[in-house]
This record gives sequence, structure tokens and C-alpha cells, in this order.
Amino acid sequence: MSLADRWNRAWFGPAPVLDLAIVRLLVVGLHQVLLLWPYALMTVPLYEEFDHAVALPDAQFEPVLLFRLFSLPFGAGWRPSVELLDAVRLGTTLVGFTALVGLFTRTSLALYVTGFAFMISHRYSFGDYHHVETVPVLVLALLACSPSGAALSVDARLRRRRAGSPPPLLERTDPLARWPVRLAAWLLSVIYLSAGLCKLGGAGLDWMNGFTVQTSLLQAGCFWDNGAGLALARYHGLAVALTWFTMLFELTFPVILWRPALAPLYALAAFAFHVGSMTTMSVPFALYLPCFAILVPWTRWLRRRRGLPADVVPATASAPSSGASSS
Amino acid sequence: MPPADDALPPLRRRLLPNVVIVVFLGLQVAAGLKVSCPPKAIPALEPLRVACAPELWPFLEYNMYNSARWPGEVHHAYELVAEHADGREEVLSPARIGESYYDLRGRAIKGLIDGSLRRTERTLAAFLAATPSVRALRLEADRYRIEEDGTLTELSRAEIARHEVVDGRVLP
Repeated sequence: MSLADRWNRAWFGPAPVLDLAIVRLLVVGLHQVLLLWPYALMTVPLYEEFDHAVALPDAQFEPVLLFRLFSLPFGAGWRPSVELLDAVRLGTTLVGFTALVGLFTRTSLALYVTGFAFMISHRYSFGDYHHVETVPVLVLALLACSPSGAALSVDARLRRRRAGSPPPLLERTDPLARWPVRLAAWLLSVIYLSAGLCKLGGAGLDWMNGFTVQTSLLQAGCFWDNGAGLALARYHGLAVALTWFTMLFELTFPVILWRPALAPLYALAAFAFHVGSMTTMSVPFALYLPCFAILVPWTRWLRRRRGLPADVVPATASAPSSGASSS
Repeated sequence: MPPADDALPPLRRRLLPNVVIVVFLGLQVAAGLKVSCPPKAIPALEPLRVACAPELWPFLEYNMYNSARWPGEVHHAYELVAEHADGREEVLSPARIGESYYDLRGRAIKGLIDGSLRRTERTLAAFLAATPSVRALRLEADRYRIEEDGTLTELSRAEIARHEVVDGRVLP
């Protein structure tokens, strides 16, 4: 088998479109909530305070690569006004609703992720940066390039009306529905491996002393008035256990690339890890939470459920997928 | 189970996904594993430091919380207290100043800690304008320390800073 064949077989081939549609609803849905209510689930506002960044002097402006690409039509050194950034935020919010309901899904998602990328890359063009939006933006970009609107969307409903009777929801597949899931698994693997290696590279095995996590809990408890963090900081043994969980989880995450069956377990661990760090340390990674849904085989799990409507479930739920494409 | 060849989408439909796969994975590996920004501690690799964070955003290395911490550090849980002309004192909450907790802690209090009083002033502007009786702002803190045996000790409360307030201005 040639290298090209191996590549194509690894990334492409029929996969359920429902899985991507569920991820779209969750990821876009939470983004919309945080655009409309910036402090829901978050300790810091993500897409606000444009006036602060715009007022910073040119000497502090060091545009990141992505923002330099955005400013190509306007020339080097171009800086957007507060009014433009506010307009982008409003436009992003509006197009978010069409992305959510799946109307002109790809275009909506493309504009949606472009809006976020523009706002955030501008904000991070002054030296300071955070990791809060990276994974969500990457997942949104994958959704924009994939058939995530082929189910649970207005687009899909309109298409069905034109095409007549479609296969049941759980039977609908698309040969371009697999690669975003696999790429997300790869990206998350590199990201968590990076987090684990950075800890070992930065502090070596000293990071595992238990005091590191205990201090982080105490620091967050003090800074954010986080009662849970302050309470847990009293237990050194618990901090040691959390230390081992963190290191094991981060360094072994790439296992899902070779053992995809473990992906839901790691998705659950990632979910617990970030919910835990949000509630005890006020680390505002809420937008990561729905992204882990991309590691979950929703369609396969739903096939096992009984009592689903006829337009959802295949005639014989245990039968293999027909490979029919809805796109 | 790998798909049959006829299950593959045509090449033109695979073009964008292929580009995305190569670019995203390449940039994430370069940034995440420090290929594009090796540590300064290795001078021989200096020429490879071509794109350090956040240059490749949203492709970053994940180096947060990566330094080891040890017992003995003192940590402060701050409270901002307003002193009124009639001698009354009140601990300021986000609701009282009409701002978020982030604004109170990350701006108003941080401004007093850093000495950037204009930041404190800006954050509290509406509150100070609506409450002309405020004569001074006082920053107090509960203090904690992790001991060698892993226990947490609560130290005595301390006054960290105090600044007079005149006409909405926080004086040095």
C-alpha cells in the first residue's frame, strides 16, 4: 500500500455526521452564552475591553502572525479602532446564531471562527497572552471545514425536503466526517503532552512534590476568594494525588491515537480536570469543556439506546452502517 | 476497519482537509513541543528560536503552572475597606462597587498592590462618585503559609496599604 493510500485511509472514509453536529451545538452554544453573558462560568471577560488594547501605545504593538495576515489588506502596523472591534464582536454574535441552528452552516462557522480569531489575535498582539481560547478556536475551525451541518441543522432539514426520504439520523455518514475527529485527537494529544513536558522541563520531578499543586490551590483561593481552593489547600495528601492524576493524564493523553476506544475515557478525564481546576482554582477554561465532545462516539452510543424515533434510529440498530452519505 | 477506495471523497474535496491537517498539526507540534522556540538555556539552538509564543497563536506551548513551589511562601487574601467621614468602615464587594469580582480583585486591589493608583481610581470611579463620604481606602489581608509538613497555617491579619481619597482621587 502506498504512503498516499495509508494517509487517505487514516484520515478519510465514512463516519457519522451526527457526532460533528453534536459538537457544533455544544461548542457554538457555549460560545454564544459567553458572548451574551461574559461572566457566566468565567472569571475574566474574553471578548471585551477593546478600549484598553486600542489605547496601548504603538511601541507595545507586536502583531502575532495571524493578526498580520488579517491586516495584510490595510498595510503593516494597521490597528483596528474600538468601533471596528465592537462591530466584529456584534457580527460574530449574530452569525453565531446561524451557526448554532445550522443555516448556511459552513459559511456561518467560517465567519464565526474568523471573528474570534480577529478579536483574540488582536488582543494578544501586545505581548500578554493566555491559553483560554486556543482549543475552542481550533475546534471551531475544524467544524467550519467539515460537514458539521449535515445533521441537526436547518441546512440538513432543507436538504432532506428536497431529496425525499433520507436514511435515519444515526445512519447518515460522510466521507469527510472522520478527519476532524482524528485531527482533534492529535491536536489535543500534542497539547496535553506539551503541558506535561513543560512541567517536567520547567521543574523536573520537583513539580511532583505536592506543594506545587497545594500552593496553586492556596494562591487561587486567596486571589479569587475561592473557598473550595482554600479548603482543599489544607490537605497535602490530596494535593499529591491531584499531582499524580495531572501528570498521568497529560503525559499519557496520546494513548488515544493508538487506542481510540480510550478516547471517551480521556474526554471524561479532561472534562473532570478542567471542571476541577475551574471550581477550585478559578482557571477559566470553560470553553474547553464542550470541545472534548469531539472524542465521544455519540452515534455508536445512541445506536445502543432503545425507544428512539424511527427517523433517528436505523431499522436494525445493531446492523453495520450502510455508508450512505447525506451530503 | 479502513474504508474501501470507492468510499474516499474525490481529491478536490480532500484538498482543504489535507491542507488543514498538515498546517494545524505542523504548527501545533512546532509550538507545543518548542520546535520553533527551543529553550534559551541551550545557546546552540538559538538560531531555531524563530517563533516564540504568542507568535503562532492559536498554536501555543502549554507552559502554565510549570514551576515547582515549596513550603514557606506567604499568600494574601485581600479585602478592600472603605473608611467614611463619619468613622464608619465597610468591606467593598463587587456588588457594592457595581463591578465584577475580576474588576475588584484584578484592577482595584491590584492597583493598590502595584502602586498603580490610577487603575484603582478608574475602577472605583462610579462608586467614589456616588459615595463622596469615602475618605480613605485601606487594603487588608488574611495571610496563609504552607509549612514543611504540608499543614496550612493562618497568620495574623495585616494592613497592606492605606490611601487617602479626595474628590474621587486616590492619593499616593
